[in-house]
Amino acid sequence: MDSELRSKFKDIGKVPSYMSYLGLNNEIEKLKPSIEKERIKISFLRNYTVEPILPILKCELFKSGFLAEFYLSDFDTIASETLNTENDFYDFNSDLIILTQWLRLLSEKITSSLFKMSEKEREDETLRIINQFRLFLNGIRANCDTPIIINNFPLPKHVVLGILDHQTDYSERKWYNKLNESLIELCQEIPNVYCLNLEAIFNSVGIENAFESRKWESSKSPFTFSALLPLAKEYDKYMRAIFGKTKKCLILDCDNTLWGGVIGEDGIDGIKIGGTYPGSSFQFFQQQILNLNHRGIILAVCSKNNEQDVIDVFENHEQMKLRLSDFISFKVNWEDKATNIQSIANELNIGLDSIVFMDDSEFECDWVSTQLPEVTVLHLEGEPVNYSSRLFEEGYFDSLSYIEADKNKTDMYKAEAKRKQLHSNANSYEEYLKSLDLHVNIEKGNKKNVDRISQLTQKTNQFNLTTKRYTPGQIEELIHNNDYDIFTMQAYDKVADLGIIASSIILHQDEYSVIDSLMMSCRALGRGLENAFLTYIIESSKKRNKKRIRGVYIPTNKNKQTEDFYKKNNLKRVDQIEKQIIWELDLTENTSKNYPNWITINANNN
Amino acid sequence: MTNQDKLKQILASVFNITVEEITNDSSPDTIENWDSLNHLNLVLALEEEFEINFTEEQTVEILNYELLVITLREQGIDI
Repeated sequence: MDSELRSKFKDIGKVPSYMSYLGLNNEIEKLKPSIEKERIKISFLRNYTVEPILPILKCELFKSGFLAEFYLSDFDTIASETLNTENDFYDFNSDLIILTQWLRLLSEKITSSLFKMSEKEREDETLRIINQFRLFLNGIRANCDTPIIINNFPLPKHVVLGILDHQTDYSERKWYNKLNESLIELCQEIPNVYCLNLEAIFNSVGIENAFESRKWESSKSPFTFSALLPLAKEYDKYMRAIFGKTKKCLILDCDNTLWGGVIGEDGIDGIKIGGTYPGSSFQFFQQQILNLNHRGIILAVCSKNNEQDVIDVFENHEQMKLRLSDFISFKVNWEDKATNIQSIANELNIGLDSIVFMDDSEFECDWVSTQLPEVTVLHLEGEPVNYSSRLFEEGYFDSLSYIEADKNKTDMYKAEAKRKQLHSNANSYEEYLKSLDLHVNIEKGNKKNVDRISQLTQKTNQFNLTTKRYTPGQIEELIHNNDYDIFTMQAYDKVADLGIIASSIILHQDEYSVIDSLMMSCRALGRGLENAFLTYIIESSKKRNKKRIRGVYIPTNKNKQTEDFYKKNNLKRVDQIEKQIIWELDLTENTSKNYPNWITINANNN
Repeated sequence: MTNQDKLKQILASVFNITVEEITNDSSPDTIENWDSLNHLNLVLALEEEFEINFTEEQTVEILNYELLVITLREQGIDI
């Protein structure tokens, strides 16, 4: 993004208006051919006017690194577009499908008789609506596995029974809530379908401010700008989560960020943390950071201070919620912050684009933005009461999975740092690897690891041969499909358990096997684990008496390091179909390969 | 910026043209992008920028530059 456009985006964040979005949208259109961004196609299947959201959505997605193109269905063609196979909708080849219907157009009864209906009638109406959605979703799934978002339904502003409504069995609002619950159940039933909480957006904006009855009546366009903006941002959050742009690491300044005041001047008893305002706000901010940490976000400190002063606060100030052990990297020195952030990224082996940096100093924020434009910089302005919402409002850390192991992320990265220490003590790399006493457990996909497999497909960008994303539902289906094998690899060494760090999905056809997906978490790289895993996959294919095994590589901006992976493992390049490069190994020849001698393999595949 | 300038700026943004291209005769006949969808966007943008609310009748009436000016005056805008 050039600097002019960047500053316009900054302004639009401060005082958003529909006009400024239209202007920015025009500029993006003008620059379009020369813009190097991930191009994505989004389809709207809808029964009302969604057009006003498009300029806002395009700008918000642009900020996240996407250049979007849209397809809009006609008002009453969702059935024919989803259920017929040959039409413009399927030809468009969407990367994301948004299925959004306005309830009043789906159900005549909700305005005429909901409050009079018997329980049975109410249930029937829910079922009728859900079944219609199910029909469309299954229709799409029969043709493609593109991710789908459906919007749930906002509650009505007025209900016939008024103050009595929520206290009776005839309640309209209760019916809406049930309908929304059924919609979520439907989403869980069909792979790769997510339910966007439009009702929550209406609540947070206020129904009064979100819905425009005049525009609804005149042009079937229900939303005000106040609702369009958060809705566009919500779609953007889904896009980032689906397409692997979730942030992994939060780097924090200290003075006037984690506590009020300057430690070097005010001293440990003078800084404001806990107690009354503003100390209470800083404490709440710290608590929310800690919550993010327990959700799997790793933390680091980058502060210009005397290191001992800061350590003293983290160790000895009893009002602190964050402690030294919560941080994976601690850069308290007088170096410039861009250099420090770069070295944190190197230490952790994560991309700059997966880092969020928060600081109260405008100077530091500008410096980091210009030096490291890929880092997301959040300038903490104004009152500390607003700090904690900055953590959540843009959804930088939102992802579509949440599993038990997320809590232990920090420990895993710490163990990695300890290994680096061992490494620097060893004479050779191989000696180091041997000293680790590395073990792996290879397992088939099962109930227990299905969420982790899905998470690996969703979050792994660098060591990922095909970057195909799968939901837990899809993985579960493949587990029960005999044509497929799914393997996971868990690794542990004398330092720590790394957990499940790799997974692969293999499709077995008549004479050959195809490695549909193969990915490994980047914190496990550099130990030859990926080669051991591939060797295991090849051996298992031999056991199935396959003649050949094929590996697929699909290049992305991020996975260049896997370009030669199959080549290095003796597969030969045999074909290229569009972006897919196909590698092959003849299993009838004697191609037995040994596992690296520093790895002990345990396979438990019954 | 006068309100005339502001109006032209809005038209330029909504229809993706330059301010210079807007004349007293501008209408859907002279501006290619002035279709029903962009008209909706125009109404949204005008209401927001001038902090007004058109009546339903007005939103269908404002179909050229002069009518826009007249209608904005009716809404109490000094233009």
